[in-house]
Amino acid sequence: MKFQRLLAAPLLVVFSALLIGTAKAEPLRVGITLHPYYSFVANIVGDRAEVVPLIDAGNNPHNYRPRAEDMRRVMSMDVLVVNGIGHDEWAFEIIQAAGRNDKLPLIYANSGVPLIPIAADEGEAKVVNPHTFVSVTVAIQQIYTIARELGKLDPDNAGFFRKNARDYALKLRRVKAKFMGELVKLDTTNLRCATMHGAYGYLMQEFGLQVVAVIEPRHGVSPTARQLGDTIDKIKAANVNVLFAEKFFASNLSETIREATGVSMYAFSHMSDGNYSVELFEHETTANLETLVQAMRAINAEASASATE
Amino acid sequence: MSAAVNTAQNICTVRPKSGRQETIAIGVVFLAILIIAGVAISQRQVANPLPRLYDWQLSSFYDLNKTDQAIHTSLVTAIPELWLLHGDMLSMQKRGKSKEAWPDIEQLAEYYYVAPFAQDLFWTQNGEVKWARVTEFSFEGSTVYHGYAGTANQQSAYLVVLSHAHKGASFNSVGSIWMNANANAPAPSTVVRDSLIRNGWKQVVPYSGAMERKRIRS
Repeated sequence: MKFQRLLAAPLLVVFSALLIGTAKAEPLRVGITLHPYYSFVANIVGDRAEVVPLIDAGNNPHNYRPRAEDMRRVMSMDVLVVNGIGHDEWAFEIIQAAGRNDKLPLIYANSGVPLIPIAADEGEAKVVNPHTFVSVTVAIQQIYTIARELGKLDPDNAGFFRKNARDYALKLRRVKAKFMGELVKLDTTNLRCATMHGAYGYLMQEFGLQVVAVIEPRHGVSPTARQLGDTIDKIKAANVNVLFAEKFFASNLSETIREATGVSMYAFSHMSDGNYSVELFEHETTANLETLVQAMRAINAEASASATE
Repeated sequence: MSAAVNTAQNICTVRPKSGRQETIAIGVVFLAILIIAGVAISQRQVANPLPRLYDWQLSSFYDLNKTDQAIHTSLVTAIPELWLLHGDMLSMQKRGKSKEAWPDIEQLAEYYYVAPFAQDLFWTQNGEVKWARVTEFSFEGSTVYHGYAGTANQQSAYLVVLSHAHKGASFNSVGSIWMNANANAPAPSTVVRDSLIRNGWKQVVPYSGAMERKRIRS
């Protein structure tokens, strides 16, 4: 009996050590707040973590009201990736309501991004543009930040995440380079554009293009009649020839402006609609850049037509 | 009658009821209000999220024109890419497959499409800046990418200073960005801070998401 007891203790230790050694750590459940972050994280983690959207697809992130099921989801996450600079403040309400204020690790995707003001905001107090996810260059900065922070939480997969981040960044740069190649053949000096929303400042910046006016700098805050009148005057004075509206968040103001000024209108994607998917960011970026090329070709055609008249 | 009143025994000092005690009490209340208000105001102070800049620094958010701001954004994004490529090249160097430790401009532009080095639309729209890699600072543990001769209106010259203690390159490693109001400012002979400042270079301090988050919270 004594012998059995003496044998049992070391056996238990060996057996426990074997169990610990063979037990595989559960994959991380990585929460995200906005559609592009789903694509970023899914491309970084591959099959070594689960990506969990905080809110259901089909909601407008500009005026989202937290629901009970969001709290259930936030309770199941190991970490949450947030924009954190004004585009997903509702996420912090959900975290607080779920009582995970100091318990849920957050990855601030924009922590290292150099922010720019909303285009054409000069003269007034400069306001930060939180749409850093509608651009390739600044998206890459966020992809690296997310990969680095996930690597800290899951050191065993840090190298895997880093490699995937680099491959994904190069893939996105190639998409951008393809359209750069198209645009460089066109004369961009005639483009004088306005945008309905402030979402495209970073996108236009990375193509070296400038926005003359933003009609509705903050979503949901419609301009007053006087502000709209001033904007129409500004568009006419600056001879704006293109208005980039929104594919998903339509505003009847864009029609009013088109009628008043005669500008051509195209629609960009804000990347906040449809189903969450690994390819969403790449697809929507491609669609935006196709739209930009299309607009530029039309301007070039108009310019050459008026030159021959 | 009056003599009796003037005798010492009969002098009686009558203190007015609204005298010193009342003045002291009002003073105490007044002081208490001042202290409470002072404490309340100090507690409600909003911390300024912006770092205090020296006169040899520029804010990327407030002080740069559109062209310089666009180039700054692309350089900040290029920095982690440069460190990652540096890490690759160091391991290739160890295996005898590379003589270089840092990517040259051609590699950055034509193979990796890294802005602002790639000669694309961004490049043409932002002054067609010429870029050069300067590796003469290896004794200082730094490598520099120098941008000059930009043709855009009021364009600066640029420096990306990548300094490290050779603990191993990672995409967490840092770099600083400097600008010179003279677009044709030559590459510096040293990256010692005081020397850069003396030669007209100013360090650009980004307004980052971390600072904006701090502002939103406060």
